[in-house]
Amino acid sequence: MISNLRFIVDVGVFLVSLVSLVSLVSLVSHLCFSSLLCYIFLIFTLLLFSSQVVPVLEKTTHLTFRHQILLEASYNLMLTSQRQEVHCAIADLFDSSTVETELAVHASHHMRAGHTDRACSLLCAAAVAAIKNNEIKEAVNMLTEALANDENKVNQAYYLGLMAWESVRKLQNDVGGSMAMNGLLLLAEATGDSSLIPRIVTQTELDESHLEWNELQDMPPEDETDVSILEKATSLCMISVAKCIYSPSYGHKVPERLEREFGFKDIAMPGR
Amino acid sequence: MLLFLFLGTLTIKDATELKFPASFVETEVQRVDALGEDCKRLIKVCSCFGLEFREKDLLAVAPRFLTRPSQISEVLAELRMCSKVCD
Repeated sequence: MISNLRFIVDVGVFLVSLVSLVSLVSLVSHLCFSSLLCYIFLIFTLLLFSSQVVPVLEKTTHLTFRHQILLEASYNLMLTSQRQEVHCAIADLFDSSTVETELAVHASHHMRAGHTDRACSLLCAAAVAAIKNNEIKEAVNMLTEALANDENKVNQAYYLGLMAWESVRKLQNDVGGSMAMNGLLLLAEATGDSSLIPRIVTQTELDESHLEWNELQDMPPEDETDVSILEKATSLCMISVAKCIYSPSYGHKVPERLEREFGFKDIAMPGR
Repeated sequence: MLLFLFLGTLTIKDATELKFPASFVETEVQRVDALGEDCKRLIKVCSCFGLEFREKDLLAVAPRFLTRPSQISEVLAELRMCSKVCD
């Protein structure tokens, strides 16, 4: 992080030098052009040496344990309550700090401090960031940890939905579909809305759904903060189940489960 | 060639996967236990941060866990001297 910022400052210094050089050259040849460049030079200088840039140059020293054994030995010497107290202090520091800390590290301190809700939300944010970077294994590990610790059923369904969608995208339909259906069951249980459970619908209901579908916007909203966790969880789980139904050649457990548990009959399964 | 391939499969990707014999850890526990009171407290706080951490963060958190909070720099220097932590 610091090295990146230093690089930016170095580039800035280089630009200032370049502009000043050009302005000096043009001062000799064209007076008007040189005055313009002098203004640019002045603005660059002000930007570089303003208070916003100076803190970037602050040096951060990192400390490292000589050996992993030493770390484990020291950690094992502490009582659980002592560890919790220290982790709590570290988590509070990271919460109030302006320095960017890795989300997963931040989450682990909250988790060990006993702040489960905060830890799970940070783990989820870290997992979403990992998915965007195509680090699926790390994302699944984080979501599994969040799933094991979060008691909120809607959140659990969201974690399942994220994992399900990633599995289905990798054509692991049996794993992904199972998680998505479990997610839908959790959502139905949490909200009391039985329409979230896969069920056979009448033609009228189907037509109404089709009309609603047509009224939807073409693209999802750009600002994800407007979308609730419930909506995200529902969408992810439903899309994952639907993908399993329409691509049964990559796994047939979802259609089978739909028939066995939810009374569906003769689901089109061309690959079976 | 096959030997190299075999050795390649034995490579451990993550250092944290290593399991040390109990006697190694116990020896280190005794060494840590032999440190001064504040040194011991500080290294315990360090262990909560993990293998690598920012000195600035340690200086912000650790004082409240020491018997002499104002002397944290000296205690940290002592830990560096006995090669428990390094830059």
